[in-house]
Amino acid sequence: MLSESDKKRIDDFVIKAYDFYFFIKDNTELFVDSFEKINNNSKNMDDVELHSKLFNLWQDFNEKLLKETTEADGNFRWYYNALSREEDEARRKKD
Amino acid sequence: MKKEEYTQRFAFTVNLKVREKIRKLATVNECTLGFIVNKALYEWNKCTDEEKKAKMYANFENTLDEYSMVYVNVYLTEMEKYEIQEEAERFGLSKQRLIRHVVYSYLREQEEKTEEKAEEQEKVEEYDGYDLLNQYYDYLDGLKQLSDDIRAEDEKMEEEDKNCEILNIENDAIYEQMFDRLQRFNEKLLKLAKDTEKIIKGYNPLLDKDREE
Repeated sequence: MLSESDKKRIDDFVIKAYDFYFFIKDNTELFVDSFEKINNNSKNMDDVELHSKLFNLWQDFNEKLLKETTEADGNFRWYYNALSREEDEARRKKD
Repeated sequence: MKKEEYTQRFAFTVNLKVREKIRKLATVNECTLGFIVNKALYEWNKCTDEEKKAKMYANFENTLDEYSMVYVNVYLTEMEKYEIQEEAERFGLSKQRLIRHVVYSYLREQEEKTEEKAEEQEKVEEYDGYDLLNQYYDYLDGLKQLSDDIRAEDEKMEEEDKNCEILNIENDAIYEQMFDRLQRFNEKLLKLAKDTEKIIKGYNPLLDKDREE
């Protein structure tokens, strides 16, 4: 059986999984919008300015993406390990 | 007198134009002026291509003054002096004259190489500028695709969830599926973010250089 703290962590994970999904969804839309906005104004900028702006936006977004996905990856791994532990436990009891 | 002092004296006594060339080359290569002179003579000595040597001689312009040769001679080792003497005799030149044209040809050759390198570098940077824009678009396409996939999955899930509510049943399988999808989505995003981080690290120095200019 899973411990109480494990169960609590699974509940937290469910919330985190949804948070993660909404974070990606909202930020992706924001990123795409900002990118297109900068690109549409590119006539008023020289190449260096345009590249710098797009690059900074890209870098900031990717840093957030990397942080969130790495954290989510750890949570997913833990979640599936916890599930398989629970299944093993149930199988042992049945045997 | 130490080697460094000879080098310094050499730098002050050669013709201004040549001195500047040697100094520039020494700065680019982060070495002493004397090293450049020695390197030129070394290259000349080890060169076995007679045609190349003849070309080097043809390129020679008499821009080093006589006085500077005294210091060049002092700077050379006994073995180098001997080798230069031999070479000079072979070409029917004075030792000083041979040294002058060897140093000058070497500088000229290095200058050409530096110019070629700068042109190549410029081409690479231009290409990288366009390449960077392509990378942005690839990244956006990748994100949009992943985002559309997850949105489609989400709509399907919501529909299934509603059906379960209508039928008043708890469907754990739906949540399991949702997590499986989210995990697969996350794996793809994580890979995209990791690959992009590598690309960004590669571009950072190039863009910093651009901004400085």
